[in-house]
Amino acid sequence: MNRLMARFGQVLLHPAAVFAGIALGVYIGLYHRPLAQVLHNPSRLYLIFLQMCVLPIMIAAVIISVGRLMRSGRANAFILGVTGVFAGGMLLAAALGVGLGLIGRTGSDLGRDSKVLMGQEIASVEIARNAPGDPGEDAMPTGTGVSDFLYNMIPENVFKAVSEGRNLPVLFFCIIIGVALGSVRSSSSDVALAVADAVYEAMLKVIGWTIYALPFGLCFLFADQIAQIGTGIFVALIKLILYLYAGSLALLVLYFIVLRIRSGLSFGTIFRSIRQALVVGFGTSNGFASLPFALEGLHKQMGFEKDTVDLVIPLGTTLNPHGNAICFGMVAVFIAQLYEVSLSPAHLLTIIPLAALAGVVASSAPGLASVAMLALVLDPFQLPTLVAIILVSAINPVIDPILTVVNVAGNCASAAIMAGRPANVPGKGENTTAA
Amino acid sequence: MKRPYFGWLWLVAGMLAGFGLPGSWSAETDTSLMPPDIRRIVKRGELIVAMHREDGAPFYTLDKAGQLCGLDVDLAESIAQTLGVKVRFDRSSATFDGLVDFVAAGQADLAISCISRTPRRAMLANFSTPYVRLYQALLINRVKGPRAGNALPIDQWLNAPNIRIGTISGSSYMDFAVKDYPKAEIVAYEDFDKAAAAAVRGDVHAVIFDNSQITLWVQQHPEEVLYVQTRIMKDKEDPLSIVVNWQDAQLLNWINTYLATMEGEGRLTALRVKWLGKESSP
Repeated sequence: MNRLMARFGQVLLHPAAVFAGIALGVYIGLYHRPLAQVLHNPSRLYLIFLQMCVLPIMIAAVIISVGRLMRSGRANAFILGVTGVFAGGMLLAAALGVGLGLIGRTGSDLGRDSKVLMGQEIASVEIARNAPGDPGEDAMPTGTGVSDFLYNMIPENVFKAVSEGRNLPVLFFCIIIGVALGSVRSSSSDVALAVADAVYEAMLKVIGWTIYALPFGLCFLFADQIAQIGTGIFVALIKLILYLYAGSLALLVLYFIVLRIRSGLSFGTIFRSIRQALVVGFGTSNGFASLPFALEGLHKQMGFEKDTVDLVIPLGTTLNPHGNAICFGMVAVFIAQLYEVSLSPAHLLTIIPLAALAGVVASSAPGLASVAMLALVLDPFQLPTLVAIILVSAINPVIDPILTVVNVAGNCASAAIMAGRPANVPGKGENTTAA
Repeated sequence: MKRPYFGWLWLVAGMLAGFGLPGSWSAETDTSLMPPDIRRIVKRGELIVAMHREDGAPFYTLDKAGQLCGLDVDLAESIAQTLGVKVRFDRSSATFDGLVDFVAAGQADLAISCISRTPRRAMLANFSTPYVRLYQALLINRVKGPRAGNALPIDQWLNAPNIRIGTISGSSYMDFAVKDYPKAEIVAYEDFDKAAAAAVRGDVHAVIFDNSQITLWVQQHPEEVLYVQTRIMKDKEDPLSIVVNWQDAQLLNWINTYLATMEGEGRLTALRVKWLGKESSP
């Protein structure tokens, strides 16, 4: 019996099982919508369980790595480095979004049919918002701007921030704790760091168990997501969607090249190492859910230096979302073309940093409020933010998976640039934990 | 096979219909006791109703067969039928103000044509109790409209020297716009389509009109939703009334009594639901 279970476990851990789960999920989502709806709740359950594990991992990883960074005495260099790598990556992704938007002219020459579909989508959202008993009708999904972003960074009550899942204030608190623990050289602070380390290892162990459920979880998640996808509005915006996918794939190629240069491993090995992180990101559209898989892949399988990876990946999940940047850059150009507002080179140079900034702010805002951060990019150019928010929200189910993959892979590449070269280029290590 | 005989139903229906036949009532009634305004109509055998020259669905428009129909048409026909006369629509006026002038000059008994009450018009003629309550609404150009972070209420945003507001010349909305947005520049257009096109192009920041017309136009032009945004101002009602000559005091009383009766019997509600799709009661 035990041998049978072990055999079954091996089957579930096999890469083919993951892809079989995805394929089955897509099939159910396309052809068995009622079943997909039944699977909605189990799929939520899987995602919630992953998120439950991620929060302690993120907290522990940041505290430990900041603590060790302080003791190593290279904190200043690290801060400069991480700022440069994050800013560079975000600007690059935003510039690619703007550039592809200009080349693709995604917002120009849209046919009347497309405009009708877009108009109907906008009208349906606006009418829902104009419901009776709502005299003000000013209920714009207001993006909390940059100033709110900074104000909200310091948590008044850290437990409230944790329970509300607001990652930025939690990260801020963890960095402070890490700095303090790292500065205090006593046995008790060593114990505190060791405790954090134990929590981290324990939660990674739990994540390891969930890998057995990964094929099922992905099957449910894909079925649920695919079933939610309608048609109309996607047909109208197909050009924008395709260019976003093309840009995302270009970035992914770039990230793999970076990972190859930094690790010296073959593309196949790199793919196997971060495959789970990418697949979970694509399936859940949630960068945090794939965080533990990214840590595992970069450190244990590719051999990058643990402390740096443990700090860069959690920070980057909030502060380094390249997918948001490319999306905001391209959508800004799309909207400008749609409203025939010509953008001068100076305008374009302004849009790129704004899109990068909005991308960072958006990743710390919950749900649809993150899309509302488009206001940061569009408002200075007198472009109608509400239309952009409604249209992007409408195509979000289709573009969010690939943008999340870009976020995850971009973050891995950033961590690889920051981290030291693999000490022992894994020859045997890559096979032991591969799943 | 036995079938129940329902032929008697036709007999009953015929009798009921007979009561409402135009002219059947006036022929037998002594008009000498009637006040002069009612007597004038009954003796003429015809109720003259002024109605705007351009169609204004769903209040007065042509159906697929080319027949005049709409809420105002149904209401006018029902009034005439109850008075026992035929209805004749005078559609020579090209403006809403012109309709009020018609009634004031005695060229028409009533004006039923999606007409709003305004103090200026009330100096010329009487208004019945409202039979439909619309709202003032805006069609705002999205590029020129208020920004997402704009904290000003829409009223204050519109009332500024650099703002251009479009509406239809000779309509009550000229009055509303001039009164509510004295600082803005009010631009008059010949008809609603021209005004809406100006809002789409951005020639004006917004067009102000009633929610019925704006909603209808948006339904007919879904692609323009990209360029203009609808805003219904729920705090600014636009009640529609029947216009009566100031000398026709009894006719006004009669109209008000009749509207109250229709309301009480649920027929006015049925009419509103039929043409406006939902209840928008006075």
